[in-house]
Amino acid sequence: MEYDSLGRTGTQVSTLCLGSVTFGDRTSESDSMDIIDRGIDAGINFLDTANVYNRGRSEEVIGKAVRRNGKRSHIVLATKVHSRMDDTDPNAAGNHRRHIIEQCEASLRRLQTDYIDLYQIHRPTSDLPIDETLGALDDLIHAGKVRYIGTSTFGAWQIMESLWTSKTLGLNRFVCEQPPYHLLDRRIELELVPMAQTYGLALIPWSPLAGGFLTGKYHRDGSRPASARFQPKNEDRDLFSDAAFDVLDVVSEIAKEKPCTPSQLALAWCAQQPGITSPIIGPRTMTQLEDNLGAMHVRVTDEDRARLDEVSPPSRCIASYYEADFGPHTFQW
Amino acid sequence: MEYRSLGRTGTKVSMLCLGCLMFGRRTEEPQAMDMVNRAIDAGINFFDTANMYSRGVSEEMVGMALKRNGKRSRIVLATKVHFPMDDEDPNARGNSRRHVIEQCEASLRRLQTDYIDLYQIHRPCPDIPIDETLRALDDLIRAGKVRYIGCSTFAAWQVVESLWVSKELRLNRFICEQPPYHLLDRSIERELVPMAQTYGLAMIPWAPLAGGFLTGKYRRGEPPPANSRYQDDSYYAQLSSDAVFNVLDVVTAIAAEKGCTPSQLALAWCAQQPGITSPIIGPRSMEQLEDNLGAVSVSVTDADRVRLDQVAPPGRAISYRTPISYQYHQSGFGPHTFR
Repeated sequence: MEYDSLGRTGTQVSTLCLGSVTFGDRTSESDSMDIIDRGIDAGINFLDTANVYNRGRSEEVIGKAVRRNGKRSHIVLATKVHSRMDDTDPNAAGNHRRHIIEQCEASLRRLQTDYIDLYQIHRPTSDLPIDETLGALDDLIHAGKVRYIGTSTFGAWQIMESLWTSKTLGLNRFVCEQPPYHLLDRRIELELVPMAQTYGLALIPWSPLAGGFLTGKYHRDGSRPASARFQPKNEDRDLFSDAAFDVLDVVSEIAKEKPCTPSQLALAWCAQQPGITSPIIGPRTMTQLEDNLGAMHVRVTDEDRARLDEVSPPSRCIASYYEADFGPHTFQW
Repeated sequence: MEYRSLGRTGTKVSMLCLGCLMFGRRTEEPQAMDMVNRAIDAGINFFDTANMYSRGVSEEMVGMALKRNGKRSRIVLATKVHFPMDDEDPNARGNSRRHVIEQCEASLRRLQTDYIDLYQIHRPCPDIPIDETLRALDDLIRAGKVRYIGCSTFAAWQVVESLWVSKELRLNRFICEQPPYHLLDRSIERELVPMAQTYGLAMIPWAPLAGGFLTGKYRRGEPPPANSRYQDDSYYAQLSSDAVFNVLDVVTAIAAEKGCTPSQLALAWCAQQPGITSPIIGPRSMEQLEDNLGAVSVSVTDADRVRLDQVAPPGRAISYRTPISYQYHQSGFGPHTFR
């Protein structure tokens, strides 16, 4: 396993980060714990979860697994706050001081640990200024409950504004951004990637396999395994377009030449793009994890990249299944 | 003519800005003079040129026309600096203090005026830090040679970085950004537009007709017409994709329903999008100017916008191979050598 610095921090993280969105839900507790053990054995030291994943269940499973495994001190543990945790309480969501501090305490309990290595704001909100959020996060760092802070799915301009705020107010700054990034949505290459490279932010892409589309399990004729995430009832029009299948065809072709699986090729491509620290894999099963781990050995050449650029041009979007609140903001900071 | 505030400045500009790229290139001097007069008569008070347009010739024609017209004091005059002005001299380009100040003096001479209303950095330069550029621009403002400063084709994050630097160093800030924006490339809606709305920057889109594509003069499966911009362009076959013509079909259909031309609809759409101050038109002839002026009385409805969104989705660029988008991607968004 290769390790690289988490942006400008010097903390070393594995080239793949293990995500846990299915843990405690579509992946049973015992399977999840085995997947985590196997990930750690393979050299993964970077685990990502969120308070909202199955409303705390994913964090609980990770807490249990890391305790059983015994290597907490080796692990860089990341979680997130922002999404709604209680439908009846208007304050149980968002990026305000009150909710952040409350949820940080709750995450620490669920994770059975004294500190979170990377605490991330899950999404931007346009209705409160970023100094409110940064003030709370800075206090958590000073209190020893959090080591580093980061963002997820922020606009490049919103991160610049946050760096400006941190500098002016003398607060700890975001060191990492977690954007959606895969061969069907390369929009972050236009602004976010060069900004992150300039300011030394780590980039840890979510959904590097486009929700599983790039594994090759979906076919133009509509056939797919019964266990697949997208079924005709919830299938995304863009994701199942001809243009998306054109990309998949080239991915599958190059994968066959290597030889590796399409998902390994797509993951290796993502991990080897400029500015990328660690793509976040989200295996539901041990088989999927084993497949994903194989991406470590796949080398993507300039020629491969040129062929992929033909069907999936730099900075462009073929299928976006997520849009974030990039503003305009109610307040200037 | 409708007038709008140039961002947070309070200075009012017409909702169409007359771009002068063609002056001295494909528009002869007498025509250029007539077009400037006609535009001012129609209520346009906002003119945009650049030092590099025909290496100073466009500025000279604008200067002559404004002098002849006599209404300089009513005009908001914008020009730009950045692109090479002398191929032999490595310092005759870029965003350095030395070049910015030298070219400001040269532009004032060519424009026959004492002050530039809006002085714009034509493109970002990843290899010098923005404080170098901002300090020079701030000095020009304090010297009375420039009223406001702006940028062109900067990334949203680069503009925010510049606002940060201006605030920290107490320098005048950019008040306007000039991005490429039209129905075939809506990339700026993702980051630049919400940033500009938050910080009160004006946005004056260039190429609102996508270099003429949205006029309807180019047709699916046909070679470009004689005397059009792309007639000799060997890339034309690549530029004109099906997806581009699908957008044009909807533009043409809606225009026919309203009884306006496709270019008027495309311009009106651009001018009425959130956050937009004044699209910059670039007429080559009086006929094109007259057509463009008609856009001010076209009203784009929510139903029209929905139909256009279906073929040209918000926040996206249609075809990699449209020339304008390609340039946007190539425009030096970083990474920067210095912070």
